[in-house]
Amino acid sequence: MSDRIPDFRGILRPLAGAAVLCLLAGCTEVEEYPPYDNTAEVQAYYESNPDFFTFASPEDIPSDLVWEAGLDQPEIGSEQAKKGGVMNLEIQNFPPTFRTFGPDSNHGFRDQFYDNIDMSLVGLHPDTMEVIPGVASEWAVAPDNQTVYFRIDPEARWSHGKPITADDCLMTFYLFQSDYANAPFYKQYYSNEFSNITKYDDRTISIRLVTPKPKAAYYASILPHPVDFYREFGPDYPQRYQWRIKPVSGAFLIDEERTRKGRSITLRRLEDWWARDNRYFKNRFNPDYIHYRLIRSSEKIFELFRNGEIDLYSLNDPRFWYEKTEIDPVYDGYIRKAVFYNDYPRVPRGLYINCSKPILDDVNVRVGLQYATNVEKLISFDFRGDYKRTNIYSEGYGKFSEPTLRARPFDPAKAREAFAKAGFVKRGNDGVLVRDDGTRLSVTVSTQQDPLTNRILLRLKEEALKAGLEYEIEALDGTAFFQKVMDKNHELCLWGWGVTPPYPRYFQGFHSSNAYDEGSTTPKPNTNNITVSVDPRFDEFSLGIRRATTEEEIKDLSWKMEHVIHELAPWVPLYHRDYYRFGYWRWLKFPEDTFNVRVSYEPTEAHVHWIDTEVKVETLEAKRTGETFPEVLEIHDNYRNE
Amino acid sequence: MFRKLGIVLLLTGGFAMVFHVMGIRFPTLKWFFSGSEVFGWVSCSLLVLAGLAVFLLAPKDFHFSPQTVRQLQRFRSIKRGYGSLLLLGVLVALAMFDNLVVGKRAILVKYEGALHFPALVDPIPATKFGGEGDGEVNYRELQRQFREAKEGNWVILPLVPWNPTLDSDDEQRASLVEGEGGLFSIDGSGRPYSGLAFVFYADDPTVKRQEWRFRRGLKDGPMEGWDRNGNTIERGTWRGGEQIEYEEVDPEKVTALAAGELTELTVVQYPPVPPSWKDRHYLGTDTSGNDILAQLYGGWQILLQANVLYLIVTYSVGIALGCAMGYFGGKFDMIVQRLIEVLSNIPFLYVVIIIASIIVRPSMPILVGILCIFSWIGMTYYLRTATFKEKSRDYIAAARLMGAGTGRVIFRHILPNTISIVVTLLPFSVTAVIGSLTALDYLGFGLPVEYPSWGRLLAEGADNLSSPWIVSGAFFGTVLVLVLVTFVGEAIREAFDPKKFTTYK
Repeated sequence: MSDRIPDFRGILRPLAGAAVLCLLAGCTEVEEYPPYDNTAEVQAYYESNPDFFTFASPEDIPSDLVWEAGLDQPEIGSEQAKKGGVMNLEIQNFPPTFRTFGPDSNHGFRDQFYDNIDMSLVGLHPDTMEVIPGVASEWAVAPDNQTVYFRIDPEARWSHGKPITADDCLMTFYLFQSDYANAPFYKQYYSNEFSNITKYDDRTISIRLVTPKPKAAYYASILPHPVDFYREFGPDYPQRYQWRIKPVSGAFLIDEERTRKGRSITLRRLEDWWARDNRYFKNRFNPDYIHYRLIRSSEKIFELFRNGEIDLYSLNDPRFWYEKTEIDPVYDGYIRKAVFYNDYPRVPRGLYINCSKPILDDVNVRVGLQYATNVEKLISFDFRGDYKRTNIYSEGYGKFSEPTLRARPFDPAKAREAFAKAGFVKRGNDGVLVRDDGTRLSVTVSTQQDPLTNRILLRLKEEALKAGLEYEIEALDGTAFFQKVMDKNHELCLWGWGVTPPYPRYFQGFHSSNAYDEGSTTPKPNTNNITVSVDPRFDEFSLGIRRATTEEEIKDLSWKMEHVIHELAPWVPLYHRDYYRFGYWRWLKFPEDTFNVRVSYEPTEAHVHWIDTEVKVETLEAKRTGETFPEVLEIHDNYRNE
Repeated sequence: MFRKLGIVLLLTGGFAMVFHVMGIRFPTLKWFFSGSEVFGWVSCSLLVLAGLAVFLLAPKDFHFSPQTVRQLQRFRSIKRGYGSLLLLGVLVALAMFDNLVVGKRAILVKYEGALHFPALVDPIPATKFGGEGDGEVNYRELQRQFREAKEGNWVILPLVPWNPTLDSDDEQRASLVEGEGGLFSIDGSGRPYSGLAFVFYADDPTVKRQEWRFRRGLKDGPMEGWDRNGNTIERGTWRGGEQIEYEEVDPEKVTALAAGELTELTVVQYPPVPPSWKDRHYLGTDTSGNDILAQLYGGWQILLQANVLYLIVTYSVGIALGCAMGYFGGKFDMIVQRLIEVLSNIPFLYVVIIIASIIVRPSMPILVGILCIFSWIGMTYYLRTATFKEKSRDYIAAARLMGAGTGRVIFRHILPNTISIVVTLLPFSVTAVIGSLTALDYLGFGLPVEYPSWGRLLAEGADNLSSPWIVSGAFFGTVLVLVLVTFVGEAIREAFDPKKFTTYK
C-alpha cells in the first residue's frame, strides 16, 4: 500500500500552498451538517456482500488453530524512561485535514498524528521484525497461510472510552471500500488484497488474504475504525470530517483545547491508556504533551532549536551537521549531536526514466544517462561523502537485497560510447550531442520546486554536459508535478518511493499491466509504473513475489528482478543514507543501551524517548549561570551494515 | 538625433547578422540568436529595416522644442538624478560587455605562438590546447597549467572568471596556523578556529591522514588517523589542547607514515565559501559553489532584458489603448473600461504564481508576458485622462477646423503633449519589473533554475544567514539599482513638472 505514496518525507517535503488554502477554506466554513446515521446502510452493505462479510458463531472457529501471543520478543525502549514533561517540536506546514483517509490526508504529518500512534491488530517488532500484539492480544494463522484469526484484547479501548470490537474491524472495510471516502488507493487495496472478514463474536474475527503470504498475520492486520465515530460517514464525508479528531487506540490524542488551528497542534498522552502496561508499550510514549508549533522557515526553526525552544532538530543535511552546529550550545554540552545507523529499507531515490518517450525508449540512451549522471560528485561534494550511492532498486531489505550489483559510475567516455550506439555521435555548438537527423540529446527532468532539488539537479546538469548530455530542469509546484508524473507525461523525474519493511515490492512499479492497458499504446495514468517499463521478465518476477509463499522465493525473485532492472536501466539510481542524525537538548533522553529501535526512519517515530524535567531545570539554570557540560557526539552504529 | 538612432539600429541589426554568419559570438549582439535561429533573423531584419526607415524618413534638421530643451536642462541640473542616470548607464554598458567581463571563457589565449579569442567563438574542445577529451576547455585550469609550465603560453581571463550559473567551484582549502598562546586559527583570519581540520598525504591531497576537532582554537575532542587505504591506525581524545587518551592501533604504520610527506593541518571549506581574492570569488560563493558576483551580474543582465521587453509591450499597449479610449470615447471607451475593471480585480500576484507553476518552464519572455497582461492597465488611466483633457483644448479644435485628420491630431498634437506623463512613469515601471521578478524568484515561482536570479540569491541568503555574504551581496545589488532608478525617476518628475518650484516629497 504505502509504496504507492511518494516519499514526501525527504526530497519532496514541502507540500506548501495546498495546505494553507485548504485550511483557510476549512476555517471560514461554519456550515451545519444535517444529521446522518449510516447504521442501516452499513448493515445493508454487509448483507449485499455475504462472501466478503461473514457473520458466524464462536463454534465455527476451527479448533486445531495454534494461537500465538508474541510475548517472547525483547521489550522495546528503556526501563529508565520517565513519564511526564512537554516535548516541543515544529511542523513546517499545517496539515490540510485531520481526517486519516480521503482527499489530502496523505500529508507529511500523519505519521506523527496517527501512523506512529494508532494501533493495528498486530504489528512488527521494530528490532526483530517479528509479529507482536497490538489491538489483538492473540492471533492464529490457518495452515493455508491465507486466513488469520484475531482475538481482540479485552482491555482494548478507544480514547473516548468505548471498547474496541469486531464491528470496528468490519467498519474498516466498509469505510475503505466505500466511494464516499474518495480514496482510490485504499479502495483498490482493501478490495483486491482481502477476500473475507468473518466476525465470530465481539472479540474474535478472521481475515482472509487473496493469496497466501509469509508473515500472513502482519499482512492481514488492519487498523480498526470506531463505528460510532463514523456513524455520519456518508457522501459528504470529506467535508464533514475535515477537522474531526478520530478517537485513537494509541497513547496520544490530538488535544482539541490546546490545538490552535493554523498555528500549533498539541498531542496529549492518555493517562489511563489501556495498553500502558503491555510488554511492548510500557516504556514508550512518555511525554505528557507533544507540542508542534507551525514554523515555516527552516532557518527560524534552527534558531529556536538553538535557543532551546525546540527539543530536537534533524541534522541530516551536511551543512547543518558540520557548519551550522559549530555553535556554543553544542560546545557547552547543552545540545548533543547523535548519529544513529538504522536498518530501514532505503528510499529508492533516483531519476525515473519514462521509457515510452522518444530517445528514452532506447536502452542505449538510458544506459548512457546512467553513465552521464555524476552522482559521485553529488555525494562527495554536495553531501560531503555522507550519503551512499544507491546501487539497486530495493536496497536495505537485508537478505532480500541483491548484494553484488553496482550502479554504473559516472564515466563520460562510456556514456559517449552508449550514446553513440543510439546514433548520437557529433557534438553541437553548445557541446550537446546531436544525431544525424538533428535531434539533440536533451531530456527534461521534472521535479518539485524546492531549494535542495534545485541544487541536486543543477549539479547533475553541469556535470552531464561533460558527456554531451543536456538535462533541462523543470521545477513544478508539488501538485502539478505529482499530476504530471501520474499522467506519465514526464521524460525524467526526480522521485523517491516511500518504502516499508519487510519485503521488497516490484509489482506496482514494474508490471506491464501498470504501464499500458491491453492493446493500448498510451501509458496508463495513475499507476506506479512511472518508468512505463514493459518486459516479460518484470511481469514474471514481480507477480511471483506477490504470490510467493516463502521468504526464499521472495529473495530469489528479487535478486533476478534487480538484474533485469540493471540491464534495462529504467532509472538512474541516486543516493541514500544508512543513518539519521540529529541534535537534541540534553533533557531529551534516549535509551542508553540501544538508543533507538533498529528499524526506524526518524528518531522520534518509535517513541522510546522521554523528557527528564529535572535535567531540563538543571540545564536551563546552567545556561543562565554559564556553567557548561562536556561536549557530546554520539555515534550509535550497532546496526551499521553497509 | 533621429538619424543617429537610425544608424545605431541599422548597425546593430546588420552586425548581429554578419557576426552570426561568421561564427563570432559578439557580446550583446549574440542575444538575438541565443533563442531560435528564426527569431534572430526576423528581429535583426526588422531592426535593419526600422533603422533604414528612420534614417531616410526622419527630418534632417530635427530640433527639440524649446520646452523640451528646458526640461532636459533642468534634469541635468538636478545632480542626484543626473549622477544616478550616468551610473546606471555605466552599469548597463557593463552588462552589455557580457562574457568579456564575467564568464568562464578566456578573453585571450596565447598558445604555441597563436592567439585565440575563446570568449568570442563557440566552445573550443580541450584538445586544441593540449588537453584531453572533446569537452570544453577549463580556462582557469589552463591558466594555472600555463603559469606552472612557463612555456610562453598565457591566458587572459575576464575580470570575474566564473559563469553566472552551472559553473561551480570545488571545495576550498585553507591551512591552520598556530598563533599566540597555542591557539590555532585559519591563516589570515586571526580568529580561534572551531571545527574539523585534516592532515592529508602531500602527494595525494585527497586522502586523509588525520582528522582533528578544534574548539575555540584548541584541539578538543576525538582524533583519528588512517593509512592510505583508509584503515584506522591511531585514535585518541583531546580536551582543551591536552591529550587525554591516545592509542596507536598499528604502531608500525604510524611511525612509518610520520616520516612520510604530509600536508599541514588543513581546513576544508565547502560552499558557501566567504569572499576571497585568492580564489577570485570577490563576493564569495553560494551553497552550490557558484560565484555570487557572477550571479549578480547575470541576474542584472536578465533584468535588463526583461525591462526592455516589458517596457516596449506595456507602453505600446497602454498608450495605444489609453489614447484611443480618451479620443474616441463612447462605446469603445465603455467596453475597454469594463475589460479593465475585470482584469484589475484579478489578484495579480496569485495569477502569476498559479500560471507560473502550471506552465511548463516559464521562460523569461513568458513570465514578462504574464506581467504585461496586468500592467498595461495603469498606463491607460493616465493616457485616457490626458487625451480627454487635450482633446477639448482649443488648439485641437483649431487643428481640426484646418482639416487635420484623426491620425494627424493624435500623433502630431495629442501624443507629444502627453509624453511627459509617459517619461515620468518610466522609471517607476522599471522598479516595478525588477521588484516583481525578484519577488517571484524569491518565492520560487519565477524563472527556471538555470537562470541567474537576484530573487533566488536573496532566498538562499535568507536561508543561510550564517553565511552573510550571500544575502548581503544580493541585498546591496538590489537596493543599489532600485535607489538609482528611483533617483532618476524623481529627477525626471521634477524636471518635467510645469510648476517649477514644487519639490518632490
